[in-house]
Amino acid sequence: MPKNSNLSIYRILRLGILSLLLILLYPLPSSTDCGPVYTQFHGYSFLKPEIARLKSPYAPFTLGFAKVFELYPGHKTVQEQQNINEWWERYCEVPNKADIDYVVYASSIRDLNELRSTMEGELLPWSALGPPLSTNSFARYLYRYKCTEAIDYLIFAKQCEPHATSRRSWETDQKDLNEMENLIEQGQVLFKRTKSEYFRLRYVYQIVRLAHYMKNYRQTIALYEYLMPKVDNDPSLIEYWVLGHYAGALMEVGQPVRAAYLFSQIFDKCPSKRYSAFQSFTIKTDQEWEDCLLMCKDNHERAVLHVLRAESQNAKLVEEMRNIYRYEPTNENLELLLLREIKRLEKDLLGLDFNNRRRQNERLYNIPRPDAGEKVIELQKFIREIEDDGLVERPEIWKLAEGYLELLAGNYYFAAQSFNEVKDLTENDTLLNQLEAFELALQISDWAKAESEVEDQAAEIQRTSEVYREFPDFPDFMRDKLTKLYRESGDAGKAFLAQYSIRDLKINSGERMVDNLLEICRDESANRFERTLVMKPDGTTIEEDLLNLKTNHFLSRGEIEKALETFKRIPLDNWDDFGLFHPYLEQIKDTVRYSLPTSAQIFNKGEILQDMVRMEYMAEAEQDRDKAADIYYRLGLAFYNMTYFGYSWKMLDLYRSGASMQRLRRGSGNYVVSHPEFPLGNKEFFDCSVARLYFERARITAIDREITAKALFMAAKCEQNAYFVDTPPGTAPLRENFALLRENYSDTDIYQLIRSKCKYFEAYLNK
Amino acid sequence: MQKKQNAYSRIFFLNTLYKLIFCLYCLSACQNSLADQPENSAFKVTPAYYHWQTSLALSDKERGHLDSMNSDKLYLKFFDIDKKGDAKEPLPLARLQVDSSSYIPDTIIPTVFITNRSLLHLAESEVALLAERLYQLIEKLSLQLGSVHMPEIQIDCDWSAQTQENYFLLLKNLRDHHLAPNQQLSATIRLHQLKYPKKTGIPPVDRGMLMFYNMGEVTQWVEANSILNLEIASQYLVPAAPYPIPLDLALPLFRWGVLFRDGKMIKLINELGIEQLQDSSRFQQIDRHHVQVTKSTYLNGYYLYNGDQFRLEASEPSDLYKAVEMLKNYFPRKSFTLAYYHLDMPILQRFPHVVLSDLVEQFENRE
Repeated sequence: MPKNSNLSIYRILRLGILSLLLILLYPLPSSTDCGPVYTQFHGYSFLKPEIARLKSPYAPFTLGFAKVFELYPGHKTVQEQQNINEWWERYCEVPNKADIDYVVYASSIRDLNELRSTMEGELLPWSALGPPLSTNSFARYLYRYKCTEAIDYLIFAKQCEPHATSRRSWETDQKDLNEMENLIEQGQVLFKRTKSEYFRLRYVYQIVRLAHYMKNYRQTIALYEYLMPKVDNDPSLIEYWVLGHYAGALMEVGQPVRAAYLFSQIFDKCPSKRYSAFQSFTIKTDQEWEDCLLMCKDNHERAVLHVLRAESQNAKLVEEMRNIYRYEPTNENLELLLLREIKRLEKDLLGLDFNNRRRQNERLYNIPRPDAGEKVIELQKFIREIEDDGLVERPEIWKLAEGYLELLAGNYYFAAQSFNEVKDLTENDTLLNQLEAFELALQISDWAKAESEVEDQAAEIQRTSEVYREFPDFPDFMRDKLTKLYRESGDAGKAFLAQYSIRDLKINSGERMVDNLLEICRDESANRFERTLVMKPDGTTIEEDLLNLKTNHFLSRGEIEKALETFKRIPLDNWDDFGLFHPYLEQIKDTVRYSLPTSAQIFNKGEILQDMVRMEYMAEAEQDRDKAADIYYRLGLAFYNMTYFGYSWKMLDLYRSGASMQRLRRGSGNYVVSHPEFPLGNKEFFDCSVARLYFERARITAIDREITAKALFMAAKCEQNAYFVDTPPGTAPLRENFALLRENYSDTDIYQLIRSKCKYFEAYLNK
Repeated sequence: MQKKQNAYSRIFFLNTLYKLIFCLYCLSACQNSLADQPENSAFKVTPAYYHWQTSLALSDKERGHLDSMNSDKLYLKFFDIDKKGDAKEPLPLARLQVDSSSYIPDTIIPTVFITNRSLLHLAESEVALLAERLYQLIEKLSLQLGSVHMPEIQIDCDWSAQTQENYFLLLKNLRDHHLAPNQQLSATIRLHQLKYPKKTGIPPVDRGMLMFYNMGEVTQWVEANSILNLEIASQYLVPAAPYPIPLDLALPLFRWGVLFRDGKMIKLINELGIEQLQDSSRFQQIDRHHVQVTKSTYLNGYYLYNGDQFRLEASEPSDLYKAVEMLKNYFPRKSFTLAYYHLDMPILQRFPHVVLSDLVEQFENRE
């Protein structure tokens, strides 16, 4: 029942839209715009940074989690925010912080001079000031209370600023040393004239900073030591800002230990300068370290030195945690470092026995570290000592960590015990949420067999668990675990679909997988998880897709009847959904871009199969040898056109890549070629042997020399394709059919046609 | 008649003079051409050094070394270009600072290192702007050097497939629009770029500087010597097909300690040698090139933990002789520069100038 192609446009469109929808809705392997990324570390994480005391000023720094950094502003912003806060507190928390920000950081010297003049009545009233100062609450406050010292200071600070800001640009960074020297002198005059201790401190900061940036280190030290005792200020973050410049100068004049000690103090007490203090903290020798420890006034200060050492990227954290704990068991960094170390171990060990990219992790990232197991034991030992001592502030964190380490070490029973104990120790929601995630990871890790009970649990988790949805790595974690269990139990299809989509299956399907999945589709007692595996978004199963794939397996081997029998299990109404084709086209000259003539009749796969079965019977029964040969020839064309080399390749394949011939390892016998988009490769139907069989049958059967000649030619194409894919590079091609054609059929019409159209044949003749 | 004769003789004289001048010109041009491309004739190998520190303040000893080597050519790093973190555009870093009171060699080759990420996602107009800024900054920074000869500018970049187009565009832009007519442009060439010129492309420059070092897998513990691994190098030099542009050669003089922690390479400590790891209370020598840290300790400002391991890598004079032996056949008998990386007194103390001079002669005296 051939159909006119015009009538089928609607169906093709419908099929296209349906396919597109399916592709969009199906879960695809993790990929980027350019296909899957296989070079990234692949692992799982269920550790939630929020369980640490994130309000700790150390958190963004010590914890080092990318996520935590996202929660915090950058260091420069912290500095600006804290400065604005201090101004705000100094001015009785009255002005708006955004207005302070504007006056301190955005206003110009000209703005401030105008404000100063307005204050002194040199200009007309307040309203004479232009916006935005006229509407600025901080400027208004300064005006109302005649805070001339504040304005003078801000004007001075803005004069200093260009000399103190490093220019990250293409301009040359030449400092105007004379101007800087003038400003230092001017600042000292203003310092003496200023009554407010707060602004006197800020003048010291500007003066000392200028001297430091001029690289006049001795002057920096002298100014600091001369001016600071003359300031009787309330505690201020500016003290640490000044101290940073003093310490920097000390470092330059050969007092590294004292400088390092001061930087440790800044690191500890001044969040806005913590990062720069960490960068500047330098110890070169064991002696310097000992001297620095001796400089510390108490154990807290000694613990801070170890915190600084722990901050370096590759520090051995347990060693440093032990040192910190020895000096100060309640040091808040201990928890943060604990989480950082667990994060490393989690990366090493979580899901290690089923992580499907374990080898890649080892090869590219050396993960897991060779001694990760020993590191778990080392940390467990430390945690137990801490628990025995009972000195830490939040024992529940340590107990939770202990349980998670048991899980990472594969001691699931003890992990469960520790998790149960945590429940009695805390009511903190964040901790309990973390506990729930750990318990779910434990439940999944503990599955030993791919049995129905496990699949029910998996379905239930997918359906009801909130933590499963909250932690993005859970679906992958569960999928990888189940894949491993399915592989162990021989469920190839389930293992495949647990990991990949039906689209991937269509690109490279194994017969065992397809049979395995067909069984699930038909199994009325299949559990919920199994049903999920084979379910499409529209609620139907993938059974028809599987039947189509099974049909293709038979068809690619030339088993037409079995193929038809399989395809017939798909309802007749749906046959068109699997494509419409015209496989009997005869093409002497192959072209890269080919479209069917509009007059060509197209058929669905079921109709073609019925036709092919009928033709095979007809050929066998046909008494007229040329008619039989013609039928065999048509069958040969159908099989040829279904292969990679034919125009109806879509009958057997979902995807064909023009680059596959380059990617193919010639002569390997493996027709699955690598492809950036498909993790399991792209199986191409290169095999023309069935087509060649029918062409040879046609040749042998025919009496008509024209039929024999064209059958020989098509058999030669099959022979040539086999040469391209099945012989190692460098092998000389066999041209048996071309030879026969040349020697015996040069007098036929078809010979002349072939010669004029086929360049391969022409090249053969000219050789 | 006399006048006429005088006129004839004047014409004859001028004619002869012109012919003579023309012949001399041709001869001189011919000689110049031979000097430029002295294949199979006398040629010169010019010794030079790289200076990679930010501050140029050569000591008397360094000057003495240069004098002994008869070398007045310095490849001087002017600045790096990088696009860090959230930077919107590539920016210059580590700009050169010159102590003008110290010795400065006569011939300076300004050298600029560019990271690959600086070249990613740049529009053509941005590449042109980068070239302009780069050249302007070289000019500005060169003011610190006083009156020196700058016949060449060198760009150092280990370009990749992703950055090749922009990098070559940058080089072309520099050469076509910025360099003075008497200035040449050169680019560093890594071994893989030497071996696969079709795949990696050939930079549009006048000369290439073959960096004959950093050729092994530094991150792998089993690597013997990533600085100068002649076995690996030999794979890159075969077949000995000439590179499409004239090459100079850079040989390494440096050494370092490769620090491994938990099986992972975490740091390179420059100029670390076995003599600095002799304290048996802290270090245990595994063999001549491998040392284990047995007690957590500070070393040169780095904190080492018990269990850390070092692989000590160095360029030794014997290796350099073998390298020259290997490269002799690769470098055509033409004049080129042999640049040592890099000029620093602790490094030079390990290499007497006679060794480095001898290496130059090895090239010059080959058959």
